[in-house]
Amino acid sequence: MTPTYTISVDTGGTFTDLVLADQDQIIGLFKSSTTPEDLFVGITGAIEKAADHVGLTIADLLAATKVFVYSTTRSTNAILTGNVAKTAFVTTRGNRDILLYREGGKDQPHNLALPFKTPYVPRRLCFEITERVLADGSVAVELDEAAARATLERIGELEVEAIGVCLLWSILNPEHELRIGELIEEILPGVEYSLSHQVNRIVREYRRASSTVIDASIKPLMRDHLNDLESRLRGLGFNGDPLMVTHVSGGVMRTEQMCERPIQTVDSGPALAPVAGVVYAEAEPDAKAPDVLVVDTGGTSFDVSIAHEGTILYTREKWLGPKWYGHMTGLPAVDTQSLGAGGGSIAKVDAGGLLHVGPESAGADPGPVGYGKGGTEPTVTDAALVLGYIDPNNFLGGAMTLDLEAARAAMLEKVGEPLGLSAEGAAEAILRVASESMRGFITDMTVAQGRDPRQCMMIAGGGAAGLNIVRIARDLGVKQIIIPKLAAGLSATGGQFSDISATFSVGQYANSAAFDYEKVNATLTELKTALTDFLDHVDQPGERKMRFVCEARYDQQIWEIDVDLGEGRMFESEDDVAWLMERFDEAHLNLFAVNQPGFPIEIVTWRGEGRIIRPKPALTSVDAGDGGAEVAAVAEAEVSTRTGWFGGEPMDTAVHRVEDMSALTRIEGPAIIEEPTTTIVLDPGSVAQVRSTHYLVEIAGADDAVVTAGTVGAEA
Amino acid sequence: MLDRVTLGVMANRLDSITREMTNTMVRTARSTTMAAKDFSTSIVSAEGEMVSAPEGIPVHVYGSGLIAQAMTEIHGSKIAPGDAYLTNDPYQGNSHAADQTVMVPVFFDGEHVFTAVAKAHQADIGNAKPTTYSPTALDVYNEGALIFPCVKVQNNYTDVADIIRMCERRIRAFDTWYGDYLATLGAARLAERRLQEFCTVYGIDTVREFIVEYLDYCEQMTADAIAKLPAGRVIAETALDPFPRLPDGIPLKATIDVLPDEGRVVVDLRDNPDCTPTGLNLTESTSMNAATTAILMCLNSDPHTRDVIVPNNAGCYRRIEVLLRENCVVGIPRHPASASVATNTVVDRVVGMVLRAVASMQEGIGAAHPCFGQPPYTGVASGVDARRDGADYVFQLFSGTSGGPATAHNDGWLQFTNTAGAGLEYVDSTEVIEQKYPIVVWEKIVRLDSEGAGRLRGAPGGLSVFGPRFDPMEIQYYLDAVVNRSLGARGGLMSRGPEAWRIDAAGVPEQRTETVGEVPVGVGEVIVSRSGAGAGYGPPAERDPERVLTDVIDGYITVDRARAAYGVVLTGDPARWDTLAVDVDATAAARAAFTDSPPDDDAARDTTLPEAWWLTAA
Repeated sequence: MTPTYTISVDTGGTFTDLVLADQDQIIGLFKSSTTPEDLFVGITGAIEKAADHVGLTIADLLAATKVFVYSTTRSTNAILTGNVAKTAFVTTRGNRDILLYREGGKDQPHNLALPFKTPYVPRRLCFEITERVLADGSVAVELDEAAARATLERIGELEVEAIGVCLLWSILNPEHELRIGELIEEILPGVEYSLSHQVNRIVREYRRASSTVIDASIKPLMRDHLNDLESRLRGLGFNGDPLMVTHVSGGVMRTEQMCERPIQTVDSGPALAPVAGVVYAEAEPDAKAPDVLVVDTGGTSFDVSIAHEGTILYTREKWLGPKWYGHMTGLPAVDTQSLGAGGGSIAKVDAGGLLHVGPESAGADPGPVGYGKGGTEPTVTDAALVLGYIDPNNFLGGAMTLDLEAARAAMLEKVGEPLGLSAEGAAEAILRVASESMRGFITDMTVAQGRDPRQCMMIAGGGAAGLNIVRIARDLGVKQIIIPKLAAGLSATGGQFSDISATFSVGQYANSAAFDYEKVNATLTELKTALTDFLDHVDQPGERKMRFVCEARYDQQIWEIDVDLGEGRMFESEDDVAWLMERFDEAHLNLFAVNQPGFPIEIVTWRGEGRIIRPKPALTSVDAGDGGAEVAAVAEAEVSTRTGWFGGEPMDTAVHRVEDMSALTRIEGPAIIEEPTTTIVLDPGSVAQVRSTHYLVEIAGADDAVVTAGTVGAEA
Repeated sequence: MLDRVTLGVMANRLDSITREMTNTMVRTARSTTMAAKDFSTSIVSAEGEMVSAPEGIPVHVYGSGLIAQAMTEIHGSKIAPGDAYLTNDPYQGNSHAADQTVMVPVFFDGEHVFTAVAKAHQADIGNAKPTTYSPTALDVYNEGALIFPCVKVQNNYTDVADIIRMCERRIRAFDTWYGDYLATLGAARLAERRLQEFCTVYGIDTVREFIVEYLDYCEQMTADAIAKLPAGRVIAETALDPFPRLPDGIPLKATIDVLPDEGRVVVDLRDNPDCTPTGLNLTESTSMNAATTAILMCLNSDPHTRDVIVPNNAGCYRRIEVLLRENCVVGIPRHPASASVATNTVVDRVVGMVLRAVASMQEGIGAAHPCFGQPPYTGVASGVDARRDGADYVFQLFSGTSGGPATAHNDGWLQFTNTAGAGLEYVDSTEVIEQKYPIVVWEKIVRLDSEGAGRLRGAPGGLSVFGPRFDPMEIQYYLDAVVNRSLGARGGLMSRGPEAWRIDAAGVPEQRTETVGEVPVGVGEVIVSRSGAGAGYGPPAERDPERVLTDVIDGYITVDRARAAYGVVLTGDPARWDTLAVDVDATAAARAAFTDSPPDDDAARDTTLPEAWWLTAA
């Protein structure tokens, strides 16, 4: 029988990752360089490698492919580089500066010289329309249609390509927004537009406006890109289901739907990493902790996400670019946060003699000193090289030879001498400082989500994850780490396990002290109708599920938290309201360690998520070694050793290569595991169990978290 | 001696704990004031030296050390694990009475090692009037605030119920107060747990060694940064506008000695008037803070880095010596002088004059004057809410912005609010405000033509228009820099000061000229708040004409002002920005003419009030 394949592709900044699965299991990860000028070239490059692996032509592989899942940084990159459509913002009179002001705030109180943040749409393209709806949905000032027409004509004169419309309180009364939409179609046919109550129906005008202008600004390019990709794939022989595109909630949607709501693709790649993480945690028989902490380390960024008892945690505060200075997407999204730290982070010693690592990065070009491409500043990768963690002759599976001596020399000159340390001491110091900032970052994030890292197992993905993940985990009190053999393609792996899903929100106010049952139930019914409509319009088989959440706060509190309402509870009596209040109290206690049971609560937004559970492959076949999974190849055991430095001491360190290992080997630290796309450093005291799909690293003494706190001996 | 790597790692970990406290407070805040980030968190050593406060509101955190010292002076050996202390005492280290501070002494192995400090500006503190700012208060009795001089508020991790009941009888919107108290306490308790873990990980001896060496390191960083400043003495002077009971305002002065060779700066604030019969007097911590903040701003202002050059803690304070005297408006208040508004107004003036004086020493440093005062957009609103059965409400608005000063490196920061907050505060969501309170915010935009012109210009102020929906409201605020306006530095020009207007239900505007506003606003009426802007740095004729054009295109200034204040002549249709361009020759000529007749500060400003469009009711 010809297998039926599922292909998932994640186009990152550097690599395009492809994970191929048949109806039973994952077959392998295939990487190709990303080709920014035409992403399709990189994608076909990866498809070709996958086809070669299974002995098919591209056309035959695509013809046998039923599902194609596509995750792209196309929209994110377009936004970050400003290569989006020329977009105008239309809003209620008196509110032209919603996008300029954002929600205020900055860091660095004593730095008066920072340039003010740039709005997503420049002020010259922000237009006011005379109209006003109030907080109860009533119209205070009617839409001035003549003035609106004149404004749209002026926008046309400016050759605007897209328009985002966000009027105050359109979430309660969308009449004026809808009318402006009609006027755009009449006066400016062909200009793309988005209406805020359709893009993101939440209270808080900045977030809604930001969602809306971002959505409008990428509509033309994402429509072209997705339709072009799908038709070119079909041209090559793909004959399966409609192309599935991943969204920020870690699920997928059909191309056709995504073209209407392209903001959903923004930053969607990282949202797939925790999807994969949860699958690995569930696949590990010895997993002990209830929560999962997923870290994905690349050359320049360190992405973290969390799942609690199998549910991936969400945020409403998704920033593109730095907090305060970037732009908020405003949508509920998988909470992936990104620290600008990775293998390329540069180390430097300040005037007072303190060592800093990052945020500046050497990137891929010139890259670390050891790359020999002109980099002069020592980086985290150089530190790993000096410490013997990376084999200069076997970097990325031998794809590149590194210059150890150059790295040592730079290490000594730029860090060692100023601090009175040897090259190895300096390298150890760099890894300590880098690890500490990653630890601090994870702590900030777990605290913000009310989770305790000690209750987490960690899933480490990305090419650079293995270098210092053991020491970070130990410092956090994490006892188990899973390092997937497909670590270098965690998001693409997640694409294999994502469901078809969509989220709808309604900003309907309610207060437990005077609960409006009719309005709340009408809101929930409206959400159910929207979800049913969404689910009915998907042809794919699979179980249909709905889940509801409300965003609530104590009466007069400012910020809301999510309260899970389960699969569709309606509110009939005081008991239902009391039930909701109890759920809220519990959630507040979990998040903030304090609560006020019995105090009235306000509900601001209601959300519904519809999901169609797709059939999933196994991570790998049970019968590993039949050649099915790339990672399971068995060869004669041969372990070499080299000197690795741990805690300032040189140690004989066993070096294991993938081809040397049969399944279920146990490796004790100090040791180094060299995978084709990643290197795992096992510090003394850690032990790795080799599974067919991943390594399970267990850390002794993580409970007391004392080990890494020792001092580095100054050798001057 | 600890190695530098361990030192850095430990310092980062303390900063990470302080940030955790901050995040907890933002997320659990009950009042708009606290949610807008008018609070701060810090970690102080048992000896009373502030060690970590990475994102604290500048005006808040200086006093953390002083209040922690007060706690040990008052309670001494009776301080025990499980205690928490509440202070807002303006006579013993706190910033002002509205900033209620919870201090948790952190014990490890029976020893007091740190004090976790969480300070929040409460929405109400039981003042005689429904506001937490009482600039006209004669003294602390007249002000009416409940004062807690380091009072024990928790025993063995449990509230001292007597204290809470006292607050229930005297504080308006008690539920809001209690919610914010819980948020503040929660942050301090969180820090307690984290600091105990910190001590477990590193061991108490290393922690003690760390405190000493880290503060020494920060002291050295400060000395190194000061070494780059020019040597010399400079006198800073300014004057607060005339004020009720102070017809001449308050003249203010600072003598600044910059001693780069010694790595020290000395700011002498003793030559200032005695305490006044108003709420404007500064406290010891806000006086110290005003001078220190200004110097820290001079040392840390760098357009190219978001790294901190000189950290704000007790180590750096050793190099910035501030001389104060008792019974002085910028000094140490003597009971019962009121310091109700010690966190802005005079403090902003002191910071502003020091920044500008430093700018006068040498090109490339310091800043112009920022905005001053507390205009209606950030005033305290009160009334009853018909949607909640007529329940009282009182809250501080943050519905708008004021302008930050131009520096040698950049135009001013647009969302400055005041110097004490330095732009850290959040801005209200209009929808959230309208959902919570029975008011409507009709406009919240940049104020046209309000900036101080310069080679680098001050940030424009804001225009906010708001009014009640169902029942009359009252708005309390006060203005400054109407008479003594914000001045430019090194040839930069003055900015517009703040204004308050009330437009009645027939659309007729009336300017409110009182300095301290307690203005009733009826249904159908609105308050128009025009906030102050930042002043300019360097002569406006040196501003890049393309940047002037951009300001016109983006609607910050008019075509007429571009010409009159900057000497930039534009061609094209002023109503259609896409047709505008710089007329290079005409610009050169206009700028040449400035040599003989320099531009007026207020040259060709458009000062038209907004049209009362909200009255075209449906």
